[in-house]
Amino acid sequence: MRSAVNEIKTERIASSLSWIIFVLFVVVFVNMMELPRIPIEAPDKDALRNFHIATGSLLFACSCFRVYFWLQSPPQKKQGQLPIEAYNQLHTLQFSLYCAFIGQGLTGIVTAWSDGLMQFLPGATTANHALWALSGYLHSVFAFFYLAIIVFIALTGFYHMIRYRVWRFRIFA
Amino acid sequence: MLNKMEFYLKTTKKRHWLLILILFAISSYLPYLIFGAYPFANKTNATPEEIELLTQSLDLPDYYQKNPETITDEQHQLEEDAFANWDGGKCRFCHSIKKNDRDRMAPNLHRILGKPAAVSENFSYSSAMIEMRNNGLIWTPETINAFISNPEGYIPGNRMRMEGIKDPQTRELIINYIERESQ
Repeated sequence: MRSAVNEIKTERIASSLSWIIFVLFVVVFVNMMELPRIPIEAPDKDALRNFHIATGSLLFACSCFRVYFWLQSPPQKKQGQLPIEAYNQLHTLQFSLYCAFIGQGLTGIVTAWSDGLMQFLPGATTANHALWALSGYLHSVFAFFYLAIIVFIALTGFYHMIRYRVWRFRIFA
Repeated sequence: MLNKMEFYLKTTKKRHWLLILILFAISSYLPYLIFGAYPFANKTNATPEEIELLTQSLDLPDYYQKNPETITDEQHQLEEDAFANWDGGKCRFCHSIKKNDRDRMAPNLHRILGKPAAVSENFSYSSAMIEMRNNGLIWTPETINAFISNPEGYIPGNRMRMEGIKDPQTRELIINYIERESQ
């Protein structure tokens, strides 16, 4: 009985976290589309970049908790008409999406730190061009990675909906 | 009775994880393919002696003798916009220009005029650009103009993934800005 209650609690927290991650992702994504078009010396640039770092760090933290809950309690199939492999494929993709957000967050923090934008020790000189180039490249890699995963979640989700005639968006949940 | 994780791992196919690996491998290549980004930066591409050797037989003018006060503020703003804005050349998004500017993902352009190609610090050049340096390419207003009008056509295989600036006036403003900011 107690474990069943814990399970419901875990599911609720995990579900809430997923929604928070979704909202944060949309905010960061809109910011990310706007940010590169603003000239580096423009006054808006700093504000938008700081906002990007703040919301990106929140997204990173939420994704860490979401992965923790996922590992504690991997999603179990609840749709009777959907084969277990199809359900697991969707959720493996979703798990990878959360991992991509963690990778994106880690490389983002290193990029900001090696660019001198984020400091953990006051007054410390942390600028390092080689590290900035490498972490910046990886930050970009993870951005393409999560975009590819999102496309595949949508494609495989709709494919399974049509193939197995499961007309419920809950298969993504 | 299997616990949840064991059940999940038992019912997940290897091909699901293979798809994710493939997506990651493709994603690793895309920043290079689309933006020309490169994850490693060479500290030094040419020593001052090597640069001297590449330019010593050439009779190049001093590109930085212009008086910066001979233009109006409006003209200066036009030049800066052409260099920095998204609607202009977009140069500033990847290149730094001022003396003490932090290097970005493309070479610093401070005092680029009169320098051989592929000699700036903190950047890994494409083999196409290094070949052009070895063939004697020197950055002058004319060669920069030709390069930025059609980068891929002028140096095939280089990593500046830009369409090229078709408007001659924008190109002129950019070159003037590079000269002025290097004074």
